[in-house]
Amino acid sequence: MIADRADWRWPRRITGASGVLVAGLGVFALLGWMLRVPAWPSLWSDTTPMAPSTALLFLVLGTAVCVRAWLPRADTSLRWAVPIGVLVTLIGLVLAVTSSMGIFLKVEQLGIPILITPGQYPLGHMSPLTAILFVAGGLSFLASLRWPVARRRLPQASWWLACLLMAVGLILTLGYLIGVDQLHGIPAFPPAALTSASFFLLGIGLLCLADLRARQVDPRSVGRELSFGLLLLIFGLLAVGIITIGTLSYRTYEDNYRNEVDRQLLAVWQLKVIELEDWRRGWIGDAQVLYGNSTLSGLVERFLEEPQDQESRRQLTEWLGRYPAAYECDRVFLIDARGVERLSVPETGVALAPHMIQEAAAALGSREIAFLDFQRAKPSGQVYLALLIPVIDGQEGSRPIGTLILRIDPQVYLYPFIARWPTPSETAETLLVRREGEEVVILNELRFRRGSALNLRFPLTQLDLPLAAAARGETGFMEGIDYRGVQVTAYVGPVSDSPWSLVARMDTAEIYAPLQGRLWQTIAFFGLLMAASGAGLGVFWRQERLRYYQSRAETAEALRASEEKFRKAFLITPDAVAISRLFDGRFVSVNAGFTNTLGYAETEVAGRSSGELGLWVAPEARKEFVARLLALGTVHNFEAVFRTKTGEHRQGLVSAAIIELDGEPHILNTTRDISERKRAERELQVLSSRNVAILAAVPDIIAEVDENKVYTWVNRAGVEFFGDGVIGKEAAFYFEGEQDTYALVQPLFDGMEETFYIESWQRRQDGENRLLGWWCRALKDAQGNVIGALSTGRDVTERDRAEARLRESEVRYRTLVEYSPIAIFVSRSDRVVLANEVCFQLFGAAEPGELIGKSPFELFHPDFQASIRESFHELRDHGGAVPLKEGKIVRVDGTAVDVEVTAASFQDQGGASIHVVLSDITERKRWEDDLRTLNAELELGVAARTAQLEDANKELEAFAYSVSHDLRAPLRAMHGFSAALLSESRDRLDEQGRHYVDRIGAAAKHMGELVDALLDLSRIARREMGHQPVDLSALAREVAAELQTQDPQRRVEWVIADELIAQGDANLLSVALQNLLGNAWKFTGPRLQPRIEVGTLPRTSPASAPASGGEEGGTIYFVRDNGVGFDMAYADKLFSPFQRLHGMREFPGTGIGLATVQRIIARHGGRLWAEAEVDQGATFYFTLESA
Amino acid sequence: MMEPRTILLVEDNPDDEELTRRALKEANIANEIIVARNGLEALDFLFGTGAHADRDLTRLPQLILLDIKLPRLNGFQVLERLRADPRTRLIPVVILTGSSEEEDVLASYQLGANSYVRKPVEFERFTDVIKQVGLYWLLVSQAPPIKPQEAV
Repeated sequence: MIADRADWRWPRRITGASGVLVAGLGVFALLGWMLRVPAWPSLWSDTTPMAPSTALLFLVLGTAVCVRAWLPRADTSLRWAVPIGVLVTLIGLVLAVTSSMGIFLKVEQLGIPILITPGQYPLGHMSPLTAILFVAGGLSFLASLRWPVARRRLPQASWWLACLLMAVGLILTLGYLIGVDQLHGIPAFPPAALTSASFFLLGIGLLCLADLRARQVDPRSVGRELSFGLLLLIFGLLAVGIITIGTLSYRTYEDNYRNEVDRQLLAVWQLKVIELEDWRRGWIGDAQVLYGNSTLSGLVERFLEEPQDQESRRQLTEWLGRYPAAYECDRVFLIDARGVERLSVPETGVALAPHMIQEAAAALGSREIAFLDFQRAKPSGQVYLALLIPVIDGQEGSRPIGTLILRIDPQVYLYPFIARWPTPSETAETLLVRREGEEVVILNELRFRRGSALNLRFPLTQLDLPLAAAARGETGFMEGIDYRGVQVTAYVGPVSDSPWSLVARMDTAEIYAPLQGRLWQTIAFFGLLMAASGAGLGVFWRQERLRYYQSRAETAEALRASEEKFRKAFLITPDAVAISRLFDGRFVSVNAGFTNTLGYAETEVAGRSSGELGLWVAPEARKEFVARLLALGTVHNFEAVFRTKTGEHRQGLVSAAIIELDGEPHILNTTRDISERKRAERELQVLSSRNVAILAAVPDIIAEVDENKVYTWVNRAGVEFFGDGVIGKEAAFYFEGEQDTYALVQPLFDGMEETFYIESWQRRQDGENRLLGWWCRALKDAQGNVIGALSTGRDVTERDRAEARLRESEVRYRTLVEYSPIAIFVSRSDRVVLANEVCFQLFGAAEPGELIGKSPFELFHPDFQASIRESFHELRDHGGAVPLKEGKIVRVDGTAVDVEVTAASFQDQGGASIHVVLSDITERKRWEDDLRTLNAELELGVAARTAQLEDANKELEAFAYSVSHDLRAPLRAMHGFSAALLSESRDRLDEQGRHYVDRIGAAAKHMGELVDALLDLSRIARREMGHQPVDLSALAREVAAELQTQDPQRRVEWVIADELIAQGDANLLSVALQNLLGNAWKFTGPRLQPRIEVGTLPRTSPASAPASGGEEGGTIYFVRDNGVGFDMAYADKLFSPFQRLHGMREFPGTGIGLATVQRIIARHGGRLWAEAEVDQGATFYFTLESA
Repeated sequence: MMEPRTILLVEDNPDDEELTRRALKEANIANEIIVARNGLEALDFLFGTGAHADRDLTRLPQLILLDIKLPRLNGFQVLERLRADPRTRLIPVVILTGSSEEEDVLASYQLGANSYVRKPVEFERFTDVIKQVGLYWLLVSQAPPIKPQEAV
């Protein structure tokens, strides 16, 4: 099982990734060395770089880890992995020993020149800790290898070593992240930052390798335990979180602390600067008091002019003597204008330095007070400051007399003040400096160096020197080294009104001393936290594994029990069961069923394959079987033919599955011998297909019922009749309404009858009742008990119906003849064979013999006998019927009667018969006479009615007249007054009111139009009709022209046929055309290309006239448009007055027009009709009097 | 300028009467309008009989607007009498009616009406018609020279 499992994928990926990273970091560091980029191995920091030897070992080990992760096959090989592991371990061991003893081998640097200037640590060499970690890594790598003897402890050891590696790497990395400076406190020199990170990554990779190996040693553990990768991921996340929190907390503390220190430095600096400035200002103030004092100048003048004057000397000495006594000024000198020292208080005998005298002369020359900065007095070597005050003649105000010099000794006040530091500190101090050319001079006495004042100098250009920066005039915090070369933190800035700058500084080490403790606290705390979380996860993982092993032990027991069960099943099953190796198909084990079926003894089979034994008759079947097995893992019920030892062929049903035995895939197959079953099936198949064919082919229903008369089987005809659901239904269900018939079959089931025939109406599946004739036969068991019945049924409905129809027809015929109100007789072979009652009455016959048996011809009047005979013989020979004929018969009493005769021949059993029908037309003849009389009377009636009609017409005229005069007046009033209302009271009406008034006016107007239209309509009826030729073409053109005049904007295509000459009243026809064309004009309004046609239909055309339209024979005129048309469903309303098919808004109108046309056409004796379709236009047809 | 003479309106319908007055007013025809409510009253007015027995007969209307359907005597009868009398024979008579019956038109002209005007239902058109009739017969058309003394 080489294939990678899905849940192995992640550990592999992690291993691969970390291996690549580690090797990559090694290469990176090596390249940095070789390309002389020292920033690479030290990761751009001023910390220790990764040694070349370290980089090389990382490259080797990282590559090995990564190869094992990516090439699973390589993982199995010890040949290359063991030397690498051993090599790394040994090198680590040697270097750990040498390095911890302080011996650094040159070979470690791989011949690469180390360019970094040597500092605190030996660069380019492996740290002893690094070496120890490499030993751990090499051992972990070796332990995770696939040793020939699989021991569970090895991967575990590997795992723990990797954990160690990871943890140390992590802690060291953490240390670097927090701040490498503080790590310098550990005893041996530490691994580089890059090295630490690489160890962390390498630890992860080795951890995954160990995990993978653990799974290989115990492959079934996979999928049961919590994924190791997941645990690792959790730990990684925890670690990152803890590190981040730790780093942040420490950094915050550090920042706060630094701020505190900085504030302190700044405060001290400011305090001192303020005091220094005050000090200077105080001295200058004193000097000014002396400078402007005329008493002093007078005294000085007197003393200089008369040196012998003891009084003036005494006074001057007293005056000046106050300064040395009260101030830090050690001596006061008086120099005269010539530069001679004339007085010194107190008198010491030590002369003033010559350069002082020069300075005094210069001050006297400028007549300004001068502050002489720190300088060393030549003979004594003492440091002094001095104030030079020129003395000017009081009276003349301009003559220089001499100079007073106040010499200040800084040891008295200034130096102690500067050296003071307000808080206890071992290293803090302030420095007063001055720039001299390109150098900085320290002006005060220093804490750590005696006699430094004015003696200690540094070049201005030294950048890391806060002193120099102060002298350059910079202000602010800075870090650098001080005069001792020690790292310090300082605040520097100039003292105003002076050449001085002040530096307040403290050793960085002192500042960070408390931080160091804090750092180790933090690391310890968060390291513990991480260790705890790692341990927690580790415990959790171990717990998981423990649980898994327990469950595995349980399943192993269950497995053993089930194996026992299956072993028994294997042995005793009658089927042939065999286990063979997948690899070569050789049988490993077969059961008794196998040996029985195939005739081989177990010893003959073991170790041989089915191919060798030739078990498969068709080798290609075997190939297919194996292919399916390999593709699907299992095969079910594969049919194949096998050969037994004796060569006999057996049909088998094979099922197989791939199982694993002792780590090797095997085929387990069971074969059932189905030869017998197959043979039986085949025979049954033949038999049954024959029966099926017979049963299906029989048109009769064949059905079987059980003793409860429930259908157990029916043939196809039965299913077709009863439907699919017949099986399981009681037969009674189909005997609906035929319970009596159904009861008749009972004796069959009682065992009284063997066979039985019944006919019964039964419901077919389509619901129709059919008459079925059933032959039933009882089915009995061996004991003679009735167990059911088999019946065949035939649909005899048609036969039954045919018989019934025949009977009915006979009865009908007989009834018809006998009860007919018309006389009928039947003649056969020229003899009357049958006559009905009416016939007897017609002939006045009392006895049958008076008609029956007689010659039919003799019944007729002699005038007609010949023609009747001829007709009858014609009928007899050629069949058919004789049309109605008038004739006469002779009654028994000899009287003649008028009759109408028809005769028809038909064939019956006795040959051709002739039916003769006689109707007495005596009555009819009389009616015809009556009718003539009646007609004459009717004429008279019509005349009277016409007169009435004329009266009605007159009344109508009177009505119309009255309407014409009176009906419009109120409308006019309504319209008029509403208009008046609008014009005069418009302002008093609101919008709504105006609208209503408008509506009233419009309604009145419309009513007026309606009245007019009605009047027109009535006028048409009343009007006298002319009757002359009318040129419809001309009329139509006139109307068209008029319409065009009314609406000149519109363009309508007029197609008016020429020479449409009709007979009629020109005025009326003009009105008709006005209406028709007016409508056409109106309803083509919305069309883009309106077209109106007037013409006639050709006479031969299958006139679209409905019903009798064509028969009238008159010309059919039409008016056709392509307008909006209308729905033919409303065509019947078209010609009634006030019927409108369109909305008033779309097409205004009265609804009278077509009624008018209808009237006109009617008055012309013609017809009017229309054809239309919505949106397809309309055509109106009309005819005029056909005459 | 002579004082405008009167118009005799023979109309039984008070609505029509008022509408006609309105129409004439809108047409700025300021002639006095005398209304007769039926045929007899019209004749009485014209001939100074009945209720108008003491009327000054020298003042005859310049135009008679005559409806056809009137109580007592209808328009045709009035027209016939007017045309029969020498005093009124020449007065322009305009038949002003709702009817458009052909026979009415025919009868009117046969009896000597000067014009036959059908009253439209719409007031605007009605006004228009009255205006045109008024303008034509009172202003455009030269009136027949009727001398009252001659008439007496």
